[in-house]
Amino acid sequence: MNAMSQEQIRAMILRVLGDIAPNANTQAINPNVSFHDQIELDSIDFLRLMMSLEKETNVTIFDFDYPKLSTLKGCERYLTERLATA
Amino acid sequence: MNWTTIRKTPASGELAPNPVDAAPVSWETARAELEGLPGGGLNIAHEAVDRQVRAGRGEVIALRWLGKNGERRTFSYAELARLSNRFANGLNRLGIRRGDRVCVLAGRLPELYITALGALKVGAVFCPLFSAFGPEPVRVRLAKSQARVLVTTSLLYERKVREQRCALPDLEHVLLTDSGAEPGVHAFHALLDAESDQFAIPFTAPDDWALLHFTSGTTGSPKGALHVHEAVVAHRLTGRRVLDLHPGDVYWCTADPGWVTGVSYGIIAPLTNGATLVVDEAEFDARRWYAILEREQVKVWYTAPTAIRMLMKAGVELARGHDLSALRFAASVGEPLHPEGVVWGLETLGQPFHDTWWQTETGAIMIANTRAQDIRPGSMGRPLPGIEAAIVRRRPEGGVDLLEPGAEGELALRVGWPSLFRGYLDDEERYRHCFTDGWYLSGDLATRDADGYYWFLGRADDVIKTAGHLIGPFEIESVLLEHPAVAEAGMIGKPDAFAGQIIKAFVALKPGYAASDALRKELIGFSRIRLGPAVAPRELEFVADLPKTRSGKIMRRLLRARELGLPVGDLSALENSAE
Repeated sequence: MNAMSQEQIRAMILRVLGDIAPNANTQAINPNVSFHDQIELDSIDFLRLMMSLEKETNVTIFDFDYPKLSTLKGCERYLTERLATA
Repeated sequence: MNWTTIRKTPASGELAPNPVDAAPVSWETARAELEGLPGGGLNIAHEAVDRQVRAGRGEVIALRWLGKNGERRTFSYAELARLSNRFANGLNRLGIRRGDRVCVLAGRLPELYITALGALKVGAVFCPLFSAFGPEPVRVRLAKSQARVLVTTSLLYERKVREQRCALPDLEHVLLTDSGAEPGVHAFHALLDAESDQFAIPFTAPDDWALLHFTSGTTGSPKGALHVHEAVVAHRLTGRRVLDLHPGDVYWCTADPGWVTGVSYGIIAPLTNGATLVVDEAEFDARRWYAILEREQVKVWYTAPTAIRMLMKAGVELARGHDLSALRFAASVGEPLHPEGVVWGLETLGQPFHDTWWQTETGAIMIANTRAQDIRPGSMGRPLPGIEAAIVRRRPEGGVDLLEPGAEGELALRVGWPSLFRGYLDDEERYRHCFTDGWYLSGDLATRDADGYYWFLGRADDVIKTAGHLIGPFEIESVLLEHPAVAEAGMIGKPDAFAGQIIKAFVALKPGYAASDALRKELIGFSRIRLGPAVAPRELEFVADLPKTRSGKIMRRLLRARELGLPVGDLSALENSAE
C-alpha cells in the first residue's frame, strides 16, 4: 500500500468514514474541523475509524497519536507520513 | 482462570476514620448529618453548595472545568452558590414553579452545573438529556417530561430541537449558553446577568421530586425515573463510604451528566462531600486523561469499563510517563468490569478499580467493592450497609422465592433506602411492576457466593448496555420501521471488545426492496440522523424475516444466540423458524 497517492489516501479515508457514519456528507467535510464536532462521531465510532484505517493501510496507528487523526487533514497527514516511512 | 482476591488491611487506609474500622452508618444517622433548609425542609442544592458556603468553605474550589480547547475555569463553592442563585431568580422570573421540569441538552459545560443547582433551588425537577442523542430521542424526552425550560447550545438547538418546537407545546423557554434573543429563545448569560445573586430556597420536602432520569425497557418508550430531594442522603453517604470522598479531595467522575451517574456522582455526591470536582469537556483521549490525572492531582477517580478498556489498549507505556501517585481510590460503573480491568488498575495506576453496581432506579450505589473490603476481581462486590439484597425467582402467581448462595436468579433489593426512585413519570403501572413483596426487582441476573459477593450474569430483558449507556430496542426499531424499505426490525447487543456491546440491527425488507450494501448504509445513516451515534445501530444485517413468538413478539434472544453461535434453546414458542 506504500504507493498510495494523496488522492487515494483521501478517498480511502472518506470511504471508511462513510461506512461508519453513512449519514455524513463526506464530500462536504471541512478537513480542518474535527469529525466529532462536524459529523457527531462518538468515541466508539472514532475507535472503529482508527482500526479500519489500520486495516486498510497496514499502518499501525499508535493510540497516543489518535488526537492527531481527529480531522480529515490530520488523518491524511499522519497516514501519508507513516506510509512514506513504512 | 481464577483471579486472586485483592486484600485490604486497616493499614492501607490513610485517612481517619479508616473505612475498614468504621461502624456501619444507618440511614437515620446519615439523614441527621444533613443540614436541612434554614426554615425547614430538605433541598439537594442547599446541601451541595449553600451549606458549604455557610460552613465557611465558600472559597474552596467546587468545580475545575477543563475546556476541550485547553481553556480552564474554576468555580468556588461561593461562586457556584451565587451563579445558581442567579439562575434560580431567572427561573422564577420565567414563571417556573415547584415541580416544573427543567431540561439540559449540552455537553459538559459549566452552565449545566449552574442549571442543575438553580433548578433544584426553585423546587423544579432537573432532567438531563444526553447531548449525543439525535432529534428523535430528544423530542420524545422533552415531550414526555413536559419540560417548560431547556438549556442548550445554539449548535444542539439548531441540530436537534428547533424544527421540533411545534411538537413541544409545553416548552416555553429555550436558553442558549452561547447566544440567544429571538422569540422563545433567550441568552442564558443575559438571564443570569440580570438577576440578583441572592436567593432564599423555598420549602422543599424530602419527598418532593428533584431529578428526572430517562431510562429504557424492552418495550414502550423511555421511562422517566423520578427521584426526590431525600435521595441526597444516599448520594452523600455513598460518596463518602464507597468513593471515599473527603472535603477538599480532587475528584474526577468521567460520566456524562446526560446519564444518572454524571448527576448522582458527577454533581451531587462530590459537592455534598465538599470535594473539588474536575470536569473535562473533551471526548475520551488516553494521553489527555493521564495528563489530567497527573496535572490536577486527582485523588478519587470514578470511570467506566469502556474507558478502562480503551486505556488498556493504549498500553501501559503511556501511563508510565505520568506521575499518578496522587490517586488514592479508583472505581468503575456502567457495566460489569472484567477482572483484567480491576487488576490492570492496580498494576498500572497503583490502585485497583473498585467495581460498583447500581441503576437509574436505585439512584445511588447499592452493591460495591469498597475501600473497606477485599476485592474479588470480576465481582460486583457486596451490598452496602443499609442495603438488603437477594437473589430471587419470580413465582408465576406473583411474589418471589429467595434463592440460596450459588443459585442464579434475579437481583432484588429490599425497599427502604432514600434514593429509590418514586415513580416513572405518568406510568404508574410500569412502576408497580418493579416491586413485589417489598422487594425492588432489578431485571439484572446475578448470583451470590457464600461470602456475600454478587456476580453479574446478564439482563433478564432485551435492553442493551453499550459503552455504559442503557438502550432499549423499542426506540431504535420504531425509527427503522419509519423507513419505507423496512418491514420488520429487531436489535441485539453484539459483544464488542471496547463498548461491551454494540447495537446490531436485523432488518427484513418490504416486497420490492432488495438487500444491498447501499441500502444497509442508508438505513444506518437514517438511524444515525434521527437517533444520534450513541443509540443508532453500528451494524445492520438483512434477514428474510425475523423469528417471532406465537403472539408476534420478535425473539431478540434467538437473533442474539444465532449471531453468537450459541445454542438457541427451546423454540417451541416460535411461530416461524427462519433458519
